[in-house]
Amino acid sequence: MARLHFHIAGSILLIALLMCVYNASAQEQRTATIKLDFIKTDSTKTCRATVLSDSSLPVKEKEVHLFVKSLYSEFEIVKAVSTDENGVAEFNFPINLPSSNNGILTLVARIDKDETFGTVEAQSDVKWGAELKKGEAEWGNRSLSASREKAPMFLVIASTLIICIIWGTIFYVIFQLTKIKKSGKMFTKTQTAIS
Amino acid sequence: MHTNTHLGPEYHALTDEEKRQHRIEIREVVLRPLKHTGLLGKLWIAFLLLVFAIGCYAYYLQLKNGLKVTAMRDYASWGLYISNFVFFVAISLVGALISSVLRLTNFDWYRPITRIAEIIAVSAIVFAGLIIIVDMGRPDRVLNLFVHGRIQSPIVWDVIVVSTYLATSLLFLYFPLLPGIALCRDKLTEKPKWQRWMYKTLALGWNGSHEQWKIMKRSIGIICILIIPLAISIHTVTAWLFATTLRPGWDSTNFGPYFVAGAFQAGTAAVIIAMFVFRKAYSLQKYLTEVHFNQMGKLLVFLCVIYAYFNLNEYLVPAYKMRGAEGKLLNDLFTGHYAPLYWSVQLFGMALPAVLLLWKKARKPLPIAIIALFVVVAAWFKRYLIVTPIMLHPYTPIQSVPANWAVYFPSWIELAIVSASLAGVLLIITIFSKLFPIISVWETLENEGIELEEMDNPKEETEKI
Repeated sequence: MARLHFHIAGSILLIALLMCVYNASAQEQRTATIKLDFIKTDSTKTCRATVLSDSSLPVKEKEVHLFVKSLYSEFEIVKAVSTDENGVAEFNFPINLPSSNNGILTLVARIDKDETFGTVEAQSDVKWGAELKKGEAEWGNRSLSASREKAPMFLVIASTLIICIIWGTIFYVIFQLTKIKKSGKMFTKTQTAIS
Repeated sequence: MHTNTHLGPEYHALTDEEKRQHRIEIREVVLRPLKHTGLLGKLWIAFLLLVFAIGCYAYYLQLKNGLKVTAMRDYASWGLYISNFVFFVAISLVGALISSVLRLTNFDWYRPITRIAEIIAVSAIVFAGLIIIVDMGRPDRVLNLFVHGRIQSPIVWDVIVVSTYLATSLLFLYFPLLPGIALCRDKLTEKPKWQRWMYKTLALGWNGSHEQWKIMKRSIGIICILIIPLAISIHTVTAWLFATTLRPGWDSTNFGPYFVAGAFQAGTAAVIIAMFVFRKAYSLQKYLTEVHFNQMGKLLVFLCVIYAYFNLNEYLVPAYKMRGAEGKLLNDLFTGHYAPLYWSVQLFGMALPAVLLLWKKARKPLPIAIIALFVVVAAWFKRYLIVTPIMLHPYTPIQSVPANWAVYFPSWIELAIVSASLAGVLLIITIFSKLFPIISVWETLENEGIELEEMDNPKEETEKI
């Protein structure tokens, strides 16, 4: 009987222990947020990412990556920075990053697969991009890098002219062969030129 | 160098009968190789056919299994095929140099070797075009180059210029050959029916009338002028295929003239070898004289010096700076993996020939032919050095690829196909020389003061049909 009580008590203890472990692990997966601020002083531009936990406490020593969005993917524009004791990671922003959208860049700050918070990211637009020169922005205009229909006019005219002159001359010379043949028919078959 | 190579001044004083005899004699000599082929000649043709057949089988395997059967990968995406293409384009320029430049600058001595230069040009350019198709991997897509090609692309310029140069070179070969074909038509009457039909068709009813001579000479004059810019264009555009690509070693404004200079040098050496072989094999000692070898030797010295000047520019200037990826490439060439090949090419292909040929004894037929052989072999390896090491030294480092992608050594398939293309060029030259006179009779006789135009002209009273 005492042995049965011992088994029941042990099982209850084990279940309680498993529930504690489960609760503890559930509590460990917490959430955090990233707030992006853009600070411009004279010639320098700084992007500040402030990471706060769900209890609004600063998240320290977490590596934050900064990306810029492109058409199909994201490019990491500077090296990752770890948050300080205030949960802040500051990035020196490159001054010459081009933008095809009137200077507007979409920035993404991300903490990647963190043990406590998982993947955390924030996205924000800022008009810090270097505007493209007119020629580069106008995709589809005539240029060396455009499609065949959009070849530069000077190239189309020059190449057509050269090809026509050279092949015209070649066809003229080929035509001379027909004149030689015609001239050969003017003589009798019995006349041999080569003695 | 402006020397007249008349066989002797006595020809000017020859009577009409003696001139006629001389004309008969030279025609006999040039037709002799066409009448029969010796055992050695047959073995040579069989050997070339065998090499060509092995290459065709290798190409069949490449078509069946794709370009993975080659050693080309992401980094060395241009390999043996492209270096071979550049070599053939280079060799083909000699037709323009010998037949056109020397003609327009009033040199006379070149006349007996024009046809050799022209057939080398035609055969080389034919295989230059074919080897590019081999490199494409999908021959069924060749037409796309014309249908979808962008005029902005140097590859399209190359396609246009190669086909134009081929057409012009064929005409340049054909026009001066007309009297020769007529000679075959009239004299080789015992040949098989197909061959007689071919001579009759190709001769275009040539009878040597004043009008025909006039049309022919005027057409040759036009082609002479046309072919010079074309020849320079073909190799300049080939150089631009590289120079317009952002790679260390190719990023050079010097590339066009550098390629053209190298082409003239390699082509001249190729003609010297062909002259030596035809002289021996077809007993043409009387027409391909030591004077011709002497003059070609002087020309080769001049071209070696010019090419050395361009090499100096191409390697010394970047070597002075040794900047980044270019520095790594140059180190690899000067002291690294490619150093033995690089220095052998510079020494045996340029420096030594230029020095040795300064001596008249070295410009005798046998020594100059051996030197020219070294120049041609070095020229082939030079093109390999222009292509391969540079592919393996890109500006962006080679990363995250299998280790064997960072090196290149051609597979047996590539070696077999390239050997077949070389055999193909030699086969065209050999078969041509067995079907048509390899020496232009009328040009050789003109050089000796005998005008075939006058002697062969049909009589005034010729009955017209």
